[in-house]
Amino acid sequence: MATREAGKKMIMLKSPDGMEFEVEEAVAMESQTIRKMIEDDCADTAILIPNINSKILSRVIEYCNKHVPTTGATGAAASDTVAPAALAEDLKIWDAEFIKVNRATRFNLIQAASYLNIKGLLDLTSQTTIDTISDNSLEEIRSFLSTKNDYLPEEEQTIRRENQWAFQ
Amino acid sequence: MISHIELPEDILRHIYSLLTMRDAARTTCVSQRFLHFWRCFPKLVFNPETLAVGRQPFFRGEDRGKYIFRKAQEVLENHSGIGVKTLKLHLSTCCKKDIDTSLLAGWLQAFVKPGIVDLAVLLPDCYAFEYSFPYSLLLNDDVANSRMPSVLKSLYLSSCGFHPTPTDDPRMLAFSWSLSRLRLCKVGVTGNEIWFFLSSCFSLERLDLSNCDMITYLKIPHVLRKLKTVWVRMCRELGVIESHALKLSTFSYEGRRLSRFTLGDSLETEELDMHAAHMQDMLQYAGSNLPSIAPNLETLVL
Repeated sequence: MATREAGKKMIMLKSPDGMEFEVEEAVAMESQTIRKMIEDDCADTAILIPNINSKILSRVIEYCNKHVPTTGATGAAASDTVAPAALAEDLKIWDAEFIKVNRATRFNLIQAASYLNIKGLLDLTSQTTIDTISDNSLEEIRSFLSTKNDYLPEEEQTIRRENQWAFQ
Repeated sequence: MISHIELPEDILRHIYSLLTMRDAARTTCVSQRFLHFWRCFPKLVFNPETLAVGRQPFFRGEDRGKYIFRKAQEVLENHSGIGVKTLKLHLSTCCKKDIDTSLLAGWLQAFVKPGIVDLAVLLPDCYAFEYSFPYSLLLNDDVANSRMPSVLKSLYLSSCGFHPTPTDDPRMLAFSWSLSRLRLCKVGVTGNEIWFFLSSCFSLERLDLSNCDMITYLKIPHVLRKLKTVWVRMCRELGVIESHALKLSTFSYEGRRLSRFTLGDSLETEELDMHAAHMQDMLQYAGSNLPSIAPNLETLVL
């Protein structure tokens, strides 16, 4: 394990496309998955993060870097911390900027947050998807989620009738 | 590749579970996968807001209660019963004729299972003594045998009876509820029944009682080591409050004058916030008792 500064343990994260990222252990441990690996002593040298390419991994690290001081060593959710209101507000603005990405990047970030078990990032990325579902027509939701309408016309009518109240 | 990226099933299911009930119902029409998700939707909350009552075309105001009950029926009868974490039936705006209690009993039977976390049943005022919430459902065999520990965190009942009674079952001796919040409003329950129920609520943090007119005394057992907040409002027959909760930090009382009030022999709290309709009594109690029973007390707000 590499060490850069006294007192700050460093961890090496490797993406499948061969990029290496040296991060502070505390930052890496924002991910409950990595935390578990470190705690179980499975992280002697570099940790290979499968399925997450370097572009997405660097963004995930950027998120963790920003969020590490306020969530603290215990990994508690951001809402449980005693961070001053101004700091929380600053983080919210930062999050809003962070998530201004295209749909593919956002979906990749959701999957990365889910695999790495980073609750704050999963909540943030999920919320924008929830908002999209909330604000759009069925056809727009289908295209957003790359889903096809696989109902038979009569089935669709029945389901539509059953849920008519939700369209009012 | 970029344009056709899809979210994996488990992530999509997670996101779907975070939608409001209305958005979830609407999204059902997107594809069959979503219909499958909808049949297992975990948060079933039926109230005028979640059912978008204000947006429905009604002829008369009284149809609203009927609509809420009928919608609850449609959704629950089409639900698989699997994966429900929250069930909230806010039927207090219904009229008596809108509610079929045999259907209600069937829903509770089908949905109150060990995995339920948040449960609320609010009936119209007139049901206070006519319908009793089935206590036995909370205590089904899986829970009693600890095959599946109860994860119920919050129980809110309004305008119904609630009668927890001791059983001879030896398994129940060491039994403990996971409940952290109990709220009873206009509930037909006696002081004995509450005491019995509370005696196994080791995790309880907050207790709210209002308009429960069958309670004559309220005794809070000392095993409630996490209980911090107690609110008691307008329980007309209540004469005695005896709390043995060691960590109590907020006590609020509104109602008639009590003949006896005590916070037990010892309090471990450092802060205590007391509100009452009859502050004189509280002042007197605080002045003469708190210095001896609460040696750690640093802040007292009256």
